[in-house]
Amino acid sequence: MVRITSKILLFLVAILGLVLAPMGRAQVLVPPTPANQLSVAVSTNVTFDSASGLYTYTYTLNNASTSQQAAWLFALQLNGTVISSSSPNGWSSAIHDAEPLLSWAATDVGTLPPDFVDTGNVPPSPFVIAPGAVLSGFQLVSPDPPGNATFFAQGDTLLTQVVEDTGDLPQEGQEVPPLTADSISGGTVGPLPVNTSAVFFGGRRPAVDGFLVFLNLASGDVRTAPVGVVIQFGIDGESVDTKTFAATLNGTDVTALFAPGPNSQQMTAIFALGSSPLVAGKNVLITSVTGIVPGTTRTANDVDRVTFTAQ
Amino acid sequence: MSFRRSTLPALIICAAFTVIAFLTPAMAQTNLGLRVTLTNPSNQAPLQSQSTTDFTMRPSITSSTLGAGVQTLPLTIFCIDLFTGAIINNCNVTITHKPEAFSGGHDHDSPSRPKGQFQPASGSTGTSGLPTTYTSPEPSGIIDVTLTGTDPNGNALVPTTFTIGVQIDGLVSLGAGTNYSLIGATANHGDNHYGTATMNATLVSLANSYVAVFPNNPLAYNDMSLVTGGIFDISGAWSKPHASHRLGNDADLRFPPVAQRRRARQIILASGITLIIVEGDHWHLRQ
Repeated sequence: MVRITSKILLFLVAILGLVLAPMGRAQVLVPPTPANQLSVAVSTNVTFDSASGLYTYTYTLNNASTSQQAAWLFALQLNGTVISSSSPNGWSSAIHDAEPLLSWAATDVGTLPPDFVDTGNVPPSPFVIAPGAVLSGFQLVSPDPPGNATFFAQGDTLLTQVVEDTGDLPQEGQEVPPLTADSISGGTVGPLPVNTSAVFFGGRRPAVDGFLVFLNLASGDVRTAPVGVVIQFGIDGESVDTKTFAATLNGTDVTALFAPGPNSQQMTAIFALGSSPLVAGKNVLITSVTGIVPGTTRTANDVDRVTFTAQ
Repeated sequence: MSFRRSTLPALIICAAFTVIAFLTPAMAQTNLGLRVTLTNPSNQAPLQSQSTTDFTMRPSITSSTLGAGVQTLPLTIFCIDLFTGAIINNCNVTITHKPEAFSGGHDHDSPSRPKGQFQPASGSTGTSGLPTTYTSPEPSGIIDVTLTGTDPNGNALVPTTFTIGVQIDGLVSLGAGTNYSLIGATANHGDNHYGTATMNATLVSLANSYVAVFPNNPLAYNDMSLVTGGIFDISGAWSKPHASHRLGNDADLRFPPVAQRRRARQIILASGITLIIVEGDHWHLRQ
């Protein structure tokens, strides 16, 4: 007669578990894979077209060589309006319904590898950004000047795959992370509408402070570069001689960097690190313009100073 | 007064039925009956105006961890004088119940259909009624309940029936659409495309976005949820699969063509679907 020792009992229980486990659970072919195993740096170029009053934002993604995943999706938090967007070759853009996002994704599959077997999952794409690679051409056009925004990037992963819906995925207790949670994120620049009810006057002479106001920049702001500055003349209808406008950034004359628009009483400048006097850290922008003091025939100069931090 | 010969038998039968109808209550039953109420009315959601049952509750989920939980409905049964409404103490009550065949979107039936459980299923009403708790089964549907019993003198009570709607409220049919087709109806479940209003709107928007990119490529939606949710037993065995598809936020999407799949993934994410799982021959979408 065989004595059932505790070791034999444990062995039998383990075998039983192995046999019964697939009956109650889905057979997992591809387990859930976090899509945040990458490190991406985003650089932005912003241009302003006076004729149309539109800003063009162009983004470049640099997937660090230390990343464990290629980048397949890049998304931008949308705080403003997007008129159009364009994508690098092999990528597509989409405005999201559920969240204020504009995403670009490597969607073209090119020519599939000869050994490709269709399992129902997503096929590979030759257009993903491999670790160590850089890709530019993520572009959008907006009427809104640049402001701080958040970007998200996802690593290229297969979809979770099971044989059939006999089990519970994701596993017990796991919430399904939305795109913005299942990705890496960081700070960048994106369209941000100006708030004309919260303008910054920049001076301490009420009689003349309305000659020139800042529509999207105030002292103490911390801004991601490039920094867009939109100014308006005669916010209260004052008579201003715009030809007398002058500006310096960190002591360097930047008057010529201001272009007319988006309307006849506004001017816009884009300051980028490296190609303008803008520096990482503290910056001082000083502007001046001449106008007629309201209720008089006397002319006066409105000198405004705004101190902000660029990063 | 005379009757035609052919009329006489019918009159005799009618008279007999009338006598039986008058005598039956007096002979077999008292004027006492039963009334059932929610034990804690303030804890129960009000009945939906479109509800056709006396009570409603959600189905239990015990064979899946998604939204798992046992759903209970505490009730109290009183013995009452049917004429005056006065409560009568110490009646003995028995509860029997059965699921209505083909309810809850199940076009199949069997004796093994789970029907839930009353605990206790019998007892005395004492002085404050008989408290009992009904635990719903996993399949949605209508549960017909019958209360019988005797008064303290052993006379039969007038039986009472009521219904419990086991259901996920608020599910609506996705309905036909220009940019998608509805597939997967079977003999067991002929109407398989119910979802929450949010899920349905998302699926419509998703199909519109997809066809805007890939004209003439409508999506094909397979199983969603049944008309009032609950377990969606593909095989008709009252058990999974499906494990999910119970709450109106799941939908199966037939595989998009291989070359369109990466774009489909982006469009799905953009539509507000948070989860895509490849299952067998389809993508399972969950919001």
